Amino acid sequence: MSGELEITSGGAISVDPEQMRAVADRMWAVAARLADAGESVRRAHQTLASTWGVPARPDLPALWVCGQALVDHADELASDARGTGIMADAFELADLRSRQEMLSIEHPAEAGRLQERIDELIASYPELDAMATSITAGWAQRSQEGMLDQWMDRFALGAMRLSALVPMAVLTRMLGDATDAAGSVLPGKRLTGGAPPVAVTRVSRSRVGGSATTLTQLVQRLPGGEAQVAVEKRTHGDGSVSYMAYVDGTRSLGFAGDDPWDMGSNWDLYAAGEQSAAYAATLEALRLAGAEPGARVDVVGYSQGAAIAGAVAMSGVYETSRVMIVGSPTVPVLNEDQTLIRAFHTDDPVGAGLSGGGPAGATGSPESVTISREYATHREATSVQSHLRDAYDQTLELADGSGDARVVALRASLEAEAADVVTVERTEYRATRP
Amino acid sequence: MLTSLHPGSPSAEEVAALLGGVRHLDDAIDTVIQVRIELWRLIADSHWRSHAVEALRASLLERVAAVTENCAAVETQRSACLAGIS
Repeated sequence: MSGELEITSGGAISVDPEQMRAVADRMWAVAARLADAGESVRRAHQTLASTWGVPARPDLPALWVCGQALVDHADELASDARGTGIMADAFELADLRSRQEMLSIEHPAEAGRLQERIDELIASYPELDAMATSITAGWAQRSQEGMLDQWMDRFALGAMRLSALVPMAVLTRMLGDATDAAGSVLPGKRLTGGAPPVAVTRVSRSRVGGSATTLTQLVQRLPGGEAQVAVEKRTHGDGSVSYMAYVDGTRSLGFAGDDPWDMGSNWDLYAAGEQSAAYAATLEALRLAGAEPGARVDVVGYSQGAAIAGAVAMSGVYETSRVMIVGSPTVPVLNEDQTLIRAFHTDDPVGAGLSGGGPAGATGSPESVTISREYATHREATSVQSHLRDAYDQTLELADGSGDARVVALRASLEAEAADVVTVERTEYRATRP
Repeated sequence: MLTSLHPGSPSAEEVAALLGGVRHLDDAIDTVIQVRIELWRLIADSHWRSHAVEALRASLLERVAAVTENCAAVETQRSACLAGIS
């Protein structure tokens, strides 16, 4: 498989600007010390200039060159520090613009308040405007790298446009027309409509050895078999309870059949912005597991399940502080106290295609990460496998082993949480339309 | 008081200058060692997997190598100063 793993703090924002500025500040401090060292060598040179008669004496020209080299390195490091600071500003500007664009529709006043900082940044450095535009444009290109590059995909897309098969036509329409509108779920957006009727029954219940402590484990706990949702009820050391919901992706390409995890639910949630049967079934599974409104509920979802996970996080029904979305057709815009872990393949027709690549700006808490990779090689006939669970398992294994500071911090937080959990009771649920 | 000097021995002023030079070079070496430690910390703390940061880390690594080379050169000159005194 081909692509290089990319991890960002969200969209085009490679590193959180504040953290990058902290690095720049430290570089400035080191540059100043290096200049001091150069000055010390120069002072030594000046002092030693009177020792010209000593047979064994230092090589004064070499000493001068050395002092000058240290001062030059200090200047270069200071220049790098400035560049790092400008890069942080450019990331902040790209992020602010992305946020402003998302807020402008439903929260224009809030969007307007960002303008002062945007103007301040642009005034600080003449090239910043172009740099931020370039960062956003680069992300727009990279976030869908390899999309429909395979010969079979192009052929299939052409065939789909001619096909009278409803699911294919819907998918084509989604790919072609709906991505920009529906890919990012705008701030404050709530699902509309009533909950469609669903019947949710328990399939299994078991004790699990502990909480998931890696990104790979989180995605591997997604249900398989007949269950579409699994809920882990975690009892903590102080007796309090929290929940983890794992929501799987589309199971059926039909509409309004027995299985709510179908294209009908996809359409309701993704394109119409309405409560889907699968979304309603997820809430019902949580209720059956004991999660009352206001309970701490974190969510992991894949594909359609990821769109549901995002909608649950944005609903405000529960206290959701961590959301992991894998191959998601939508990207939720979360609050600053909610951490978003987003994994997608740039050539995944769902994870990158339907999401339109996702927003260029960061969303959620500063701990949020976006993990991306072009999955399929260009020798393969189709990039459809880029959307498969196995493919994402591989990518998340790479992320776990990447050593990236943000992933390391996330894992540390999962481990700290797991250490506090006394028991984990896992229940799997199957939903059907009545 | 008579002081006997071997032919070619440095004068008292020259010894003082050599000692002053060693002191300045010691300051420089101490500072460069601190700089190297801080550069390594910066490299260790910049573990974000991103093209921009990888370029920055590469530049910091090059800087550590260059500073290490400069530090060795300063140490050589310091040794020459000490040889001049003894």
